Amino acid sequence: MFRDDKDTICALSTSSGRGAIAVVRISGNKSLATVAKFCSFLNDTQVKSHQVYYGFFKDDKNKKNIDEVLVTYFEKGRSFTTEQVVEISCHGGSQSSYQILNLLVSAGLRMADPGEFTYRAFLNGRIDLVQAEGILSLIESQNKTMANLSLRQIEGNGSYLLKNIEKQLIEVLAQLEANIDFSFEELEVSSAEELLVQTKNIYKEIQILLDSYNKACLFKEGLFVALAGKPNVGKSSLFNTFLEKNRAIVTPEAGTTRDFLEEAINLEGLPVTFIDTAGLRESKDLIEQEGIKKAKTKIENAHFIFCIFDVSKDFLKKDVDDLLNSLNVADFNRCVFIANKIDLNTHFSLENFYSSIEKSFSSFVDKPPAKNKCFLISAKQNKSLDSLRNFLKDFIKSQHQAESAVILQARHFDLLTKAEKNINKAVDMLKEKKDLEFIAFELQEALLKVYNILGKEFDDQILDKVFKEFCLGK
Amino acid sequence: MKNNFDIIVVGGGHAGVEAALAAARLGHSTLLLTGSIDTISFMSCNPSIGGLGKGHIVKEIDLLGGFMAQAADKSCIQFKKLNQSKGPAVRGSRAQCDKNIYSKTVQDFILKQKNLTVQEAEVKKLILKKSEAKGVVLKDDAEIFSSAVILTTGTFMRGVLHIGDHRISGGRVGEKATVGLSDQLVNQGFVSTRLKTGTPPRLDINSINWAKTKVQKGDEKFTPFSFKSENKLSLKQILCHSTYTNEKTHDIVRKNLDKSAAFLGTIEGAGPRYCPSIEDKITRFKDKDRHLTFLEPETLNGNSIYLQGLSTSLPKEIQLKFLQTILGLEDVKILNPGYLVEYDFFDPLQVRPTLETKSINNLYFAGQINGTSGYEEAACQGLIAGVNAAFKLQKKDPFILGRDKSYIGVLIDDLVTKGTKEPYRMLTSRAEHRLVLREDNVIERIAETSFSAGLIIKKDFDKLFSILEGRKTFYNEIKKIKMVPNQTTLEKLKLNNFSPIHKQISLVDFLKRVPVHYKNLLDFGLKNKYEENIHYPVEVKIKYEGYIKLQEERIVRAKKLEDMKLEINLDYGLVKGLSNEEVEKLKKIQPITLGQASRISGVNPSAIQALIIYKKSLEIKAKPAPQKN
Repeated sequence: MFRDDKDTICALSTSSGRGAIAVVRISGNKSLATVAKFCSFLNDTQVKSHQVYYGFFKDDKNKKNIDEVLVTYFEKGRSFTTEQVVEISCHGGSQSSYQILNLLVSAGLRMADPGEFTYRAFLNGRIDLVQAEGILSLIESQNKTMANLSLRQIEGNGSYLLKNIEKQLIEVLAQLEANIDFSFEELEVSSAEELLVQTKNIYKEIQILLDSYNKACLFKEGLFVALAGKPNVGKSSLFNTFLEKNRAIVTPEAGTTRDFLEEAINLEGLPVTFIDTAGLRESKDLIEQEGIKKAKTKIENAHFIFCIFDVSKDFLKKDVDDLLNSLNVADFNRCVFIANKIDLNTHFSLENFYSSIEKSFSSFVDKPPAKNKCFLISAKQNKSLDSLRNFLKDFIKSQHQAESAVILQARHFDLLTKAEKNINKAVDMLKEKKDLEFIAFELQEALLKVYNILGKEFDDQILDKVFKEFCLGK
Repeated sequence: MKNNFDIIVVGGGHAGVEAALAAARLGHSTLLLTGSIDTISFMSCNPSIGGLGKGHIVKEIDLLGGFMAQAADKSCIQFKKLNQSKGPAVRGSRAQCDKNIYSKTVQDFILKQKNLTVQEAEVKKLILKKSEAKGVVLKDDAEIFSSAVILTTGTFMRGVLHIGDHRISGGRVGEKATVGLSDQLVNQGFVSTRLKTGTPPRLDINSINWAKTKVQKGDEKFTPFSFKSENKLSLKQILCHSTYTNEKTHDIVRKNLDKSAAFLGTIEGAGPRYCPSIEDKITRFKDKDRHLTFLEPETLNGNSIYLQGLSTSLPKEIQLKFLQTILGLEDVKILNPGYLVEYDFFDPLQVRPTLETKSINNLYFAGQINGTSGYEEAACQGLIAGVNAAFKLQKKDPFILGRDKSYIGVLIDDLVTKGTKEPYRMLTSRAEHRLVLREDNVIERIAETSFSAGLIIKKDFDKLFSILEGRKTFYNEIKKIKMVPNQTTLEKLKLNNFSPIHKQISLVDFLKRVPVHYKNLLDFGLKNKYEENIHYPVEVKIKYEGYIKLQEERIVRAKKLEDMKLEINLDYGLVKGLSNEEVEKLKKIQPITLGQASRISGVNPSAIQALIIYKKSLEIKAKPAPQKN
C-alpha cells in the first residue's frame, strides 16, 4: 500500500548503471525550494515552467561542486504527477546522481517508492488505470511494436474499446431490467431475440480483444519455435545452424538430446526462441521419458512447431501420421513441415513431400497445410535455410504491420476471460429462456469485471498490484 | 390541550402515519398533526398497495413493526403476485384495496395507539432554536413544543393542481396546500425544487360498456403481506377489466398536446419517468399503436373506477373526448378528471441516512418531501424517521438498514447518496443484491435486527422464530428422505413426466430439478404437509442455491467498504489525492461509510483508495510510538 503524505519525493528516473546522463526526478510542494538550496543559479532568475536552467549543483554545506547539471522545472498542474516537479539531468554513472539524491534526502525529501510518481499521477486524476499500465508496459517494451502498442494504450485506445463494451453491456442490462420491472405495464422494450443478438455481439467483441492478447504476448515475450520430430531427424543440427553455433550436441545416435534446450536469436527486432526438444519416441530410459514429457509441453505452447522429417531414405505417409499423433496439440495450424537431409536424397521433391502430407491429413479433421509451410532443407549443409528464415521474418513483419492488439496486460486478459465466461453463460440462458434476473446477474458480473479493468470499481488489491510492478523513479 | 410532546409528526399521509406509530410504539408521547382526520392514509392515486419492488417494501415495513401491511391485507379486494412467470426474486405482491376501508382501518388503528395524539391543525412554521427543531406554530399562532419534528407533507407544500391551463392551489382535490413552511425552510438554507406527479381520471362505473373489455382476475391464492394477518381474505373479491387505447385516442392526445398542463411550459417540476402520463407515452413510445389500461374499482360499493396507466393533465373536455375513443368507454362519464400536482421537495442530499436533516438537528423529512413517489416508499421512510427520532432522544445508535438486507436500505441509501431529480420509484433493478432480497426471505433478512432494536415485541418475534424453525424442520425432513431408483419410483416419475433417477437421491436433490415443486414431494415420500410460508422459501433456496451463493459472495466483496466507517466531520480537504469536485461532494453528502462514498457520482475509485490510505495513516498516528528497549 502506498503512503499518503504530502512528502516531496525524489528518485533516480533513468536506469542505474552506465550512461552518458542520468535524471533525478523530484515531485511535491517543496521540489523547487529544495533544489534551489543546492542550485544557487536558480535563485538569480524567475524560474518558469517547462524551461531548462544550466549551472552547478553544489553541496550546501561546503559549497563544493557536485556536478554540472541541467534543471527542468514543471509547475503544479502542468507536470506528469500534476504536482510541482523538478528534473535534474546530471552526468551518468552512479556517483553524481547518488550524491545528489543523498543531499536531497538530507534536506528533507523522501526517496520515492517504486511506481510512486505514476501512482501520484493516477491519484491526482492525470491518468486512468489502463493508462498507468500502458506506461508500465512502455517502459518494459523491448521493441518498437510493443512500444507503439503501449503508447496507444497510454493515449486511451484500450480504454476506449473497453468502454465501448461497457456501454453495450449497460444497454442490454437496461433493456433486460425494463422487461423485469415494467412487465405489468406492458412496456416491454426488447424481445428475447433482440437481447440475444446484442449479447452475442458483445461476446464477439470480447473475443476479438482476447485474441489480440496473443499478439501482445508475442511482442512482449517474443516468438517461440519448437523443433519436433523423431529421434535423429536432425533437430539439433537445425537448432545449431539457426543459432550459428554448436549449442546442442549432435551425434549419429538416436536420443542424444534428452532435456530441451532453448536459445534466442533476433529476427526483425523480435527475439525468436528456438526450442530443441527430445526426439519423440517410446523410451524406457527414465531421463529420456521425462525429457519427452517436457518436450510435449514446450511444443504445446510454442507459436510454431517445426515438424522435422528425415528424408534421406524413404519418406512415407506413416512418418507424418506418427509425428502428428505424437503431438499433443489442439490443431495443426502452427505446424511447419520440414524435410531434412535432402543432400542425401537428391531425387526427393517438394511434390513428393507435400503429397505424403496431404494423404496423412485426410485422416484428420484439420485442413492440410498451405504449401508455403513446407520446406526442403539440409541443416548440415546450411542448404535452403534462408527460405525458412524468411518465412519467420515475413510472419513477424506481418505482425508488426497489423498493430491492432489492445489487450497488453495479463490482468486485463484474466478479467476479460472471466467476463467472456459470464457473457457466454448469459447467451446460453437467453437461448434457453431462463429467468431474466439470473441473466442480468451474469451480465452485471461481466460489467463489474470491465469496471475492474478500467479501475472504475474499487478493489484495494488492483492498485497495489499494478503499481508495484513499476520500477523505481517511474 | 397539551402543548408539549416528545415528537411531532406533521402530515397524516402514509409516511406520517408510520412515523407517528413508530415513535409512539417506542414509548414517546407523539402528536400527529393533519389537515383532516378523515383523510389520514388517503390513497390519492392508485387504489393499491405493493407491486414490483414495492411488495418487498411493504413486507419489510411489517417486519419492522409498521402497519401498512395489515391495512392492505384487511382492505384487499383483489390480490395478485406480479411477475409470476419470472424468477423468485422479482415477484412482487400487489393488493388492490378498497380505498375507503384502507384509510378507515388505519384511522381506527392510529386513534387507538397508546402515546399518540392525533389533532386536526394547520402548521404555519417550525420553532427553531440554534439549528434545532423545538416544535411547531399552528395557524392560530398556538405553539406546541417537542424534542423532534418529522415533516411528512407529501404534495402539500406549495402544492398546485393543474388540469389543462386551469390551476388551483392545493395538495389534493378539495384540500388546501401548505404555505409558509417551505419558505421558512428555504430561508434556513434548504434547497427546494419542484416536482410533479399525475393521476388519471376517475370514471363512473355505470357508464362503461363492460362487455367490450377484458376481464382481469386476481390470483386464486392469497398470501397476506403481514405475518400477523390470517391467511384468508376479509372482503369480497372483485374483478378488474382492461382495454387498450388506439390510434384515434393517440390522435386526439397528440393534437391537443399543447393544451396539456405538462406541455404548457408553465411547470418547472420533473415528472416521474417510470409512471408516464398518456401524453408522455405517445411522445416517448411513438411506434406503439396502443397502450394497455386497467379499469380498477376504487371501492367495493362505490361507483368510481380508477383508470390505471392513463394519467393525464389535459383539459377535462379533451380527456372525455379521447376516453370515448377507447373500446368500452364510448359513453363514459368522468367523475373526477385526471390532474397533475406540482409541489416542493427538498433535495434528499440534505438529509442523513437516519432522515434527520443535516443542517437542523432533530428535524426529519420523510416521504414525498424527499422526492419519492408511491405510498410504500413514503411509508417506509416515515417508519425509519420515526424510529431514528425516538432513538436519538433515547441516545441510542442510529437505525440504518443495509443495501444487502432490504429494499428500504437501498431506497434511503440511494436518496441520501445520489439525490433525485424526478419522483423516485422503487424498482427491483435498483438493488444490486436483488437475488437475496426476496419477499419470501424477509423474515431471515430483518426479524433479528428488528427485534434486537426493540421494534417488534417478543410475542411477534417468537411467532417469526417458529416460522423459521418450521422451515428448518421441513428442510431436515426432505434432506433425510431418500428416493431409490426402484420400479415403483421410476414408474411414478414417468407418470409425472419427470426424467428418471439413476441412483439414490434425497428429496432436496429432487427438488433442485426445474419442474419439481413442493406438491410433487408428497408423491415421493414426504409424509408431513407444510404451509406455503414454510415450504416455498425453502424450495426457492434449494432451487436457486448456486446464484444465491454467488450473490452472497458479491455481498462479501462489497462488505469490506461498507464496514469502513467515515466520521461525519471528517475534513476532506486534508486528504491527499482528492479532486476539488470530490472534496465538495464528500463534504456535502457526508457519507457514513466508504461504501456509501464509493456510490457518490463523481467520486472515483482512486478517491476511495486515497481515503483508505488517509484513514490508515490516522490509525498509525493514533497508535503510540513503539518504545525503544
